[in-house]
Amino acid sequence: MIKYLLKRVLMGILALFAVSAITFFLMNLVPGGPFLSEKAPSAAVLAKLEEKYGLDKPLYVQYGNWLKDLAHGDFGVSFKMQKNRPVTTIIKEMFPVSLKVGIYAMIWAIIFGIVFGCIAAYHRGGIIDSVLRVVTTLGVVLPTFVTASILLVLFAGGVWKILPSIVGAHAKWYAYILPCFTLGLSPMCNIARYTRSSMLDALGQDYIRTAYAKGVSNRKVIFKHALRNALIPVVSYIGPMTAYILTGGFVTETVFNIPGLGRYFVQSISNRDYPIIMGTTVFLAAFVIVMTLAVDILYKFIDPRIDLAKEDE
Amino acid sequence: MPKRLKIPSLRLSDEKVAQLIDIGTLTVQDFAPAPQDDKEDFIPKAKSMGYWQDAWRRLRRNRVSMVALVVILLIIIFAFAGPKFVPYKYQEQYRSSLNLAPMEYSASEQARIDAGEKVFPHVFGTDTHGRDIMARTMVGARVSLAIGVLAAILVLIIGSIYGAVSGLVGGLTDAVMMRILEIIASIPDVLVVLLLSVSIKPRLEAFVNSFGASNKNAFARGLSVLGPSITAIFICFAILYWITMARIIRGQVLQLKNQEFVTAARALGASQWRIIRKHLLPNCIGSMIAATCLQIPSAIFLESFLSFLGVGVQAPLTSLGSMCSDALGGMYTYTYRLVIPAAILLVLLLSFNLFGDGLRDALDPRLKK
Amino acid sequence: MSENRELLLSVKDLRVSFFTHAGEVKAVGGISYDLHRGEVMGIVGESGSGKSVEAYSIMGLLQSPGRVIGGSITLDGENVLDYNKEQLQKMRGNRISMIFQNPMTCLNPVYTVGNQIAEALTAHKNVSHADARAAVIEMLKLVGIPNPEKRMKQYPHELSGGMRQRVMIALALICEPDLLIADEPTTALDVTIQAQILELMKDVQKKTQMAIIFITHNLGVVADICDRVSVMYAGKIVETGSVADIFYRPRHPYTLGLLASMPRVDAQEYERLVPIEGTPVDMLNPPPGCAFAPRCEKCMNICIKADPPETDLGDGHIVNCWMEVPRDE
Repeated sequence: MIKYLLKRVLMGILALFAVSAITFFLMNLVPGGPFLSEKAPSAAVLAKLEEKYGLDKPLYVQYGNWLKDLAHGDFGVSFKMQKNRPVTTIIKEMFPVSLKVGIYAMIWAIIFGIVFGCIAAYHRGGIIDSVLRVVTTLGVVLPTFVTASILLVLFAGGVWKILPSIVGAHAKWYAYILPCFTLGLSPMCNIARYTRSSMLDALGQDYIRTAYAKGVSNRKVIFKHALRNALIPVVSYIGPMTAYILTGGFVTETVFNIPGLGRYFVQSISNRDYPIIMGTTVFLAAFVIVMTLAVDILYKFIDPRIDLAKEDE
Repeated sequence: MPKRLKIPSLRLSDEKVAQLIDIGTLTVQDFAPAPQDDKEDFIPKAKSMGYWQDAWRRLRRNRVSMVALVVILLIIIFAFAGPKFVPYKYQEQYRSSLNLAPMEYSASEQARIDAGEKVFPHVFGTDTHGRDIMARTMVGARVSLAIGVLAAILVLIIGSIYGAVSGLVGGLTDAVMMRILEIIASIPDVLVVLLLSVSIKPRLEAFVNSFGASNKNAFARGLSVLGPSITAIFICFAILYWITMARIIRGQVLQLKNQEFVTAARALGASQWRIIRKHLLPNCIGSMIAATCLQIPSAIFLESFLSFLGVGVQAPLTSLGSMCSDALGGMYTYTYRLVIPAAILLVLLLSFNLFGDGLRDALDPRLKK
Repeated sequence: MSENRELLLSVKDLRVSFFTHAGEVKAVGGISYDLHRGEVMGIVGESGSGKSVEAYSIMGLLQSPGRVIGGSITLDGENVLDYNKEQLQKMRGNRISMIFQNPMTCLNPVYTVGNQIAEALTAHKNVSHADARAAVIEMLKLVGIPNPEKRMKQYPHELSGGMRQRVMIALALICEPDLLIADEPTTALDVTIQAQILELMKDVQKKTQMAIIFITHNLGVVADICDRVSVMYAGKIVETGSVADIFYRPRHPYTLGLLASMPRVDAQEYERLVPIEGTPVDMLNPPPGCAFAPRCEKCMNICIKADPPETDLGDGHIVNCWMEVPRDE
């Protein structure tokens, strides 16, 4: 178990290292620097600024410095967007907003996904199943921005004007309905599809026949014997779902004007605010990696067959 | 005189009695050994079906997938043959027909109609620059389709080579290759894709421009036709999106490699290449096709996502994603401009997914019942 | 012997078909037999002969597209086929239990074995948690599992195949059913474990005096445990009789073939095993005559034309073959 954990953590650190290196060098591939966008400062001022933030040094030195700072838990300070504020402070301020929307989205995705999946599996081959199949496939393929714009046209103008189109800093609870629905729709449909297929798989297993042969009621067979087994593969989807919801936040937060980390990240890319790009990327990547690991450990508690120490393939 | 059959002390069900009566009187001849030919005729010859025939039969039975296939074909016709029938060019700005609603005619066009001339309608209307939306949608769908198919082929090539090498060589090579794959898999893709497309684009632009207008070589010409952003999308796919395909192929190869028929072929002295060609490839091809088909919508999806964030296809060329993105500004007033490309995009993605699912079910022999 | 006992189960002209996309597959084409209390009956046949399907229809466990299309199954005077869902549920595991071929997959991997055995009890009887636990421990002891207090807390994957089959037997017996249907219970096990499980079943049968329908393709297993044997071929019973009838006085060519293809310990000298040539008939388009005709060495013209009637050879030895039909020459 400990060996497994160590291995996974090591892999995670390697992945983070890869992400930070890729991000760093990609970012610097872009011609022009952070201080060139609006009115170009004079050469002297530019040189001074670059010296201040260490941009005059060769790339690998800059990267080395960044890594050194990171080892002290320091992501550096913002160049432009919130001048000289530490990136850590900015993340601390913005991430909870993203997290809130993300968690709401996740909760509704998980609950409805499992319910719809079970309904579809129960009516397999029937009309309800076919309708759900098309609807959930539609939900999976709907790009977030299309969902968001359709919802906005329907509920925040266009057809009915009953919900706000913008989620400001002090938004009421109902302002979160549209963004959370948007964000959770695709994961919800994915969960429904996974649940359906693993439920059907579970219902075809020999132990289900045993349970029926014991004289257990139909409801108990489905909810005790099949569902528990069917949920095991579904749990493994929660890891990728976290990643999806965080990155899906880029679009949702942009469209609904939510002051979260995703929107800020998109803005920081166009502003070339290097420390924010680096800090946010590494932070989000770390979050996803930790969540994936947590899900894998959670797996062990649900499925007694999995022995993490022996898991090598 | 045939001997009559006496049936003493027999417990006969009604049906059996009926059968006996049907046959009529039994004769000694009936109790003579039957000729071999009659016995053989007795065994009905079952039709045997080849793999593809069987897969096609299963696919045809899947009604949802067949409908999806028809829809895909219709969209392909719309995208590739459509522009021939529409007299408007996708990049041309018709100054006199700005902001027309679907089927609306501009004042000058109305005048021509009144004069008895036939004017082709703007079926989907026009945009703020006076460009015909139907013509743009056709080209947009064409670009989206082309990106989807090409990216899927790219993924197929890289993924299957990586997966096949990893699975076939095995041992330390496999372990290292799988670790690399795991690291790539744990990178949040959209994050990197976003950065990648932002950063590659200007470089590619600079690269293409560096050749000058006159002496471009074939490579640079190709790049400028594709456009930097589309190239960036392909690079993203080449770097990040082949892992699923590689995993599928590796899994298949590993599973097949240790199966008895491969061991048997090896024992009979078949060469490695022959084993790959005759045993591994035919068994993998089904899942390769299905996975490629499911990769197409994922590529279209990614392209539309990037176009939406403003780093995708550039004007005057367009794609379904960038048309949606362009329409967002006047979303409440000109809703049709958003709805039309979004609907086509959706139908396209949906059809490819449903068809891909059906294809996977049909081609996967393990699901055979 | 069995005539003196009380009739438990009576199957009359049972027909089961599977309605597949290719057409109707007559998996069971009209079989009849009686089973008395405490009797052990073997059903022997190759795979696809319909023996498991027949057992599932007794349990009401047939799955779509399978359907009983005719006949009756009478248990203690009531027709099981007329039962509604609730009545079937009350019958299963309580009056009739079943154990299956593959103990590896027949237990739910995410629950402890104790939990799964207790569930069979609590599904039918209103017992307290402690009583259920005590009953489970006692049952595990009965099926020869050492250290039952510890074992009942384990998950199926922590037990060996033989152990799991013992657990399955415990699970089937906990409500003291009148009838146990054992569907190839030893096929998936090692030969030594097979013998142990057979011993256990014989032992348990003696103690509880329940009736057993023992389904297998292995004639050797049948000889060991059964009172009476029915041989099935292509959805029909071709020969029924006591173990002695079937082994020493077989009359149907298929039974003869089965015996000839089975290795014998008491072989006098070197004996070749004789396989039955050919393959089973296509159940989708069954020919009109005897299903075994194409593989039968003694096939006659009549065999191709019509199904043979039952011939009673006395003492419950019944055979369905035209050769045995008494003829007045």
